[in-house]
Amino acid sequence: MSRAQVIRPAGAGHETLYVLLVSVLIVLLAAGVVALRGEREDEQAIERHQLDARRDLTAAEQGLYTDLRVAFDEIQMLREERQAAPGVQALAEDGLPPFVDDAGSQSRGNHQWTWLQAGAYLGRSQAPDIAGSLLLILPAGNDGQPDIWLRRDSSHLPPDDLGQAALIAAGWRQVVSHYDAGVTREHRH
Amino acid sequence: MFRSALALLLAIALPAMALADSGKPLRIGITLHPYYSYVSNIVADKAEVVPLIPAGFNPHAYEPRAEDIKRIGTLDVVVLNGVGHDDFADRMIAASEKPGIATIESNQNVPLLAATGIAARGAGKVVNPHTFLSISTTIAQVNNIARELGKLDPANAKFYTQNARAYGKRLRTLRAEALAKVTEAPSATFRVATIHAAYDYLVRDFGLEVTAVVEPAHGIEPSPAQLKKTIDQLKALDVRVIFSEMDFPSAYVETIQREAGVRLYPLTHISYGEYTKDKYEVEMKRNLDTVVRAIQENRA
Repeated sequence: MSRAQVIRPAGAGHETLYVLLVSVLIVLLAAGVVALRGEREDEQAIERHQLDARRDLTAAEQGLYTDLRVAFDEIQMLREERQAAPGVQALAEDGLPPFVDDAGSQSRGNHQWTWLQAGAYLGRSQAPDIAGSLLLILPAGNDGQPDIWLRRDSSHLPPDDLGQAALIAAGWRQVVSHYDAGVTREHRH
Repeated sequence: MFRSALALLLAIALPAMALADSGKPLRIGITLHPYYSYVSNIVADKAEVVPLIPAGFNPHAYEPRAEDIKRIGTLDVVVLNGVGHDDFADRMIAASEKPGIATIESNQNVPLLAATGIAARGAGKVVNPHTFLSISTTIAQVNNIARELGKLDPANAKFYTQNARAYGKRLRTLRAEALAKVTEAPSATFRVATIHAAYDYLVRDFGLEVTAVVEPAHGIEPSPAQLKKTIDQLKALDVRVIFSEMDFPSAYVETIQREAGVRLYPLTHISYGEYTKDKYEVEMKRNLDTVVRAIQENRA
């Protein structure tokens, strides 16, 4: 008497299914890890009328922008001492870049600086393809932040109005920089 | 009798009380050589400046040691570069007796440049940490450090700000003296390359831009294939000047000089040797003079 024995075909159907399931599991797990521990999206959004100092400026403009930020610290101290904003001539005599005329300023657009009574320093570029014209607006008080604007066309007209809307309308763009230390750091203080 | 004894006691006690009133001088930790010079010039004799890593170690390859970590426990504040050149400090502070110690981010408010080469990963989010190799970004940092130290030590805040300003002025004079030697600005075709991606900030002071960086990553030598690619690139872009590294010389640099027909000018990274107060000024003067020489000798 023979007993019937069912032998399943050696097809790889089930194995394929299991391998597929395990693969899906691994993919889901990896996606979960990436979602939880991936790099944060902390890119700073900037407005349409703004330029990012790190990405949107030429080498010469980056150098000038840094010099203006440094000069601003000194201008604020002089302002506190003298109770008035120092003139362009005085800043140049102090050897304060970018107001001083030297090989550095010549290779970075040869800007001609003037003081605007409304409370700003205007640097007219002589070579807008190397660096645009710059405007450093002083804050009303002694503890404010510098406000720096740039325009790359060759218009030499000083702005009539230092208000944000008027500057934007006249073709000026505000230069902003942000401090994002630490993409290479584990701890932030 | 009693009165004179009391007077004597007071005479002895008063100076000690006055000393206690002024408080213990701050002990300020620093991570890199330029910051030792910065802080020493800001605080003069009113505080103590303590390097986190001993002289002779290369900060690019430094691994924290137990005794260095222990020293953090004796400090009041640590001044950091904070944008990628002293990442080891975070690990040291976290492992120290004072994980919550005050820190000063020197580069806060300093306009930073994007990193170049492989370090540029992350869509420009990684920045070039060598802000200490330019006079402008140095003055910005010195002002920041003085301002923050003044908050921790209000009695000396004005003293720190005045010293920072005087130091800034001396540094500005260094730059002005160097630039005065360049009677004619470099032309637009004057292109420079560097071995180490460290000098972008420095050449920005002169209105120049680094066209190519030889090292694929900070402190990593290029492979022969990468070297060939760089040499081809230097030839194609007509780069005539390459700023090499004085403190970390490499044999392959001569190959580049020979094959690409460029002239080498060694600059210092100011991260080697003893910590001294005037180190930054001395070495930066040498760097500025070298850049000026490169501009003068390669005029078209």
